[in-house]
Amino acid sequence: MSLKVNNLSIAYKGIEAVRGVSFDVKEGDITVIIGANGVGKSSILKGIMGIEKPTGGEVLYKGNNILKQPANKRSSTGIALCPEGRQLFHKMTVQENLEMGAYARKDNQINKDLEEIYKKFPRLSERRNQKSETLSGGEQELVAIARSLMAKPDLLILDEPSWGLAPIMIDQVVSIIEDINKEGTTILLIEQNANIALKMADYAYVLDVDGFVLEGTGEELLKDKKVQEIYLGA
Amino acid sequence: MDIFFQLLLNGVVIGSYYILIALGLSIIFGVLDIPHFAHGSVAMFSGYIAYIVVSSYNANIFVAIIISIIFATIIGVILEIVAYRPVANAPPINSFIIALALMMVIDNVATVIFGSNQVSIKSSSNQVFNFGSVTLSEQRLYLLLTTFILVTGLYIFMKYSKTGKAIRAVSQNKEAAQIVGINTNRISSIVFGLGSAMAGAAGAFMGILFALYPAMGGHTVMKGFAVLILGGLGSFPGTIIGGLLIGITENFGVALLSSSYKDLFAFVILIIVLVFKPSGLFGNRGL
Repeated sequence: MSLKVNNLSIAYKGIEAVRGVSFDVKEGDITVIIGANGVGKSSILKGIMGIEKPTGGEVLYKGNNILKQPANKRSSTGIALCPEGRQLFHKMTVQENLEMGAYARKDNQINKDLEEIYKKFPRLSERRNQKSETLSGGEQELVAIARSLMAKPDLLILDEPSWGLAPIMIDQVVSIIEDINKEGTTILLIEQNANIALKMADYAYVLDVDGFVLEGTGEELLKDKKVQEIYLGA
Repeated sequence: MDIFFQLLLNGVVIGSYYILIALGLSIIFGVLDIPHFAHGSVAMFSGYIAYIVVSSYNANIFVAIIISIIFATIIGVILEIVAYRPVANAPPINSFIIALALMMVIDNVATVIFGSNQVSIKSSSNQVFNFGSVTLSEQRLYLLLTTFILVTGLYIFMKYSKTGKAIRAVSQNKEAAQIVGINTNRISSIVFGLGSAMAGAAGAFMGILFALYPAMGGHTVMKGFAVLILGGLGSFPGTIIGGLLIGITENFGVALLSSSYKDLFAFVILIIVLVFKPSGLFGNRGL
């Protein structure tokens, strides 16, 4: 088991955004959480990454409760987050953004990995000295994914990577995520776009305001009547 | 014509002082969104420390400047941890009020300890350099050199060092900075230390070139903010051009009109610039 979340609760100013959710992410899998806007998907991730302080529950990563560590130690444990809305350092160049992704690393392989990333994303290589704010939305998403890969994560969490992208770009992002997974990185994917997410999923959860209402393999959920009705618009 | 160049040079010297003050304010405001009104008071207090080191222990002025810089750095870090950090996530008005209070507290403590009379730091040698009929005293040259070294050093640090990049990252997107593993508390302390170090140098030079008095903390920080806004908040070149512009304008204004309007010129030029360019000369945020 890579990540195990038990009964996690998060509240903002006394209002509960996440009410005791539990889920597992299996090593090597692509695990997907789908759900509409405002059901607390991103809050769960902020809790896992230590940006919001959970009001209850525990998050076990490789058996250790990581909630006890300060937020800035999280990325050195092997978890990286590619956040919703990309959250790039907009006045910094592409290269500087990628370097910041490796901030917590102390090894001397960073420059080698940077060249690997550029090989994988030739478009970013061309634009390495451009400020990230001058890039198109799709290119910015690539920078965000590449930045999180620079942390050399064992578990990569992606929050709405399809957000605001053209369909052709979404296909590209999907195949990038599948490639990353094939190379051995465990993936936790949070998506509103249930159609693309469930097709990638080894295992998936459906989040509602009341917590998880459904779970199963990607195929099972794609066939599920309720999922089809609400999330796939069938 | 000679008088013109002399005034210009004097303006650049004063401008250097303003640049040292404004750069500290600029990185503190740019990265942490704190209007650090006590910044000038830190400069003033550190200047007094330099004064004591020279007058009581007969120290060399370079030693005094370095001690002043170290003292200011420590004070800056302490203020960040003790006064500003507890309200880091509170509404911005809280740090605004704390900043004002700190300014009053430090200025009044200085009055109690040092008295309200003006003092100045006496240096042992007083060489004067002549370029034609334009003169530049040894101490003024030191201020120009110190400013040049500190500004260049800060620029290189921010652009190329890992910590400098992390500081810029925090100023552009604090949440993303946390996600990549940057300790934002540590960055806050470093930013305050760096900014205050510049104020420490400025304070010592104020004592060496002119005079120190407790109320100068408030005067200095107002000028510093004028430079910051004139240049455009958070702009590195803007702060430098803004500092020089205000220093030079002040000198010409005093020479052509009257020294009693000295503080007026900075704000007149500020208003004129803001009328035509509301975001300042180089206005857009981010270092």
